Amino acid sequence: MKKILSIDDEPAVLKCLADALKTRGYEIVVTDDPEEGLRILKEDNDISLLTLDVKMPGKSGFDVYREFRKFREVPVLFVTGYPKSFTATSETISEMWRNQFVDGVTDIIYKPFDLETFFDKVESLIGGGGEGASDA
Amino acid sequence: MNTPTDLDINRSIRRIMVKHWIDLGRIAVRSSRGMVTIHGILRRIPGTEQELTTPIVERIFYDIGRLPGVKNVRTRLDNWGKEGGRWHPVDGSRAALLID
Repeated sequence: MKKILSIDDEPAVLKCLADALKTRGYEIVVTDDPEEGLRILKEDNDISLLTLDVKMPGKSGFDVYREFRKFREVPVLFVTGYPKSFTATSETISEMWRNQFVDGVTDIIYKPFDLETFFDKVESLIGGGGEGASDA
Repeated sequence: MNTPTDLDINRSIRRIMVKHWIDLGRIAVRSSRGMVTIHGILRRIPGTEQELTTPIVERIFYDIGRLPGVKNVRTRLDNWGKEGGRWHPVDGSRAALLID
């Protein structure tokens, strides 16, 4: 079973993502603490995908992304309600776009989204969840 | 050389999109046994110097079509259409609403 880590400061979003992904047969680990997320990424080699909020207190999704990419390459799906976070006028984004996004294992989905689009994005990055999938 | 998997194809398509500064959040890519489906809005992320043009869009789909393992590319784009083999922008209210 493929394992997905979700980092988001909103517990309601985490619950929604976890419930949805479980129906597709994925195993889910969630945290609302970016530091905790980084620790999980360091310790758990079974994580196949990271879904990552952008705007979080303390450490942003971009901070988390740049930190963990120093020690691991895991596909990432940014989940954000702020499309304008991704702008080429930002040096941070430009640098990440050129040097990291270009590896092809990073994707973005904007809230609000429908679940089919979300599943499409996840499956496009890591494939289906396999066993345990249901239509629930 | 091994035949690329659908995940390899998706990854290569995202690479092409990123190279052209395409907003990944507006587009969805899916491959099944080499049959690629791309849908959504094809536009660059805000702040890029140049808007998408017909030659750039043609280049993007030319490059995708030539990827190893790709048998067919089907597109459903809200803001670009293909007529007589040539890509052209489509004025769509949905696209316009999402742009700003």
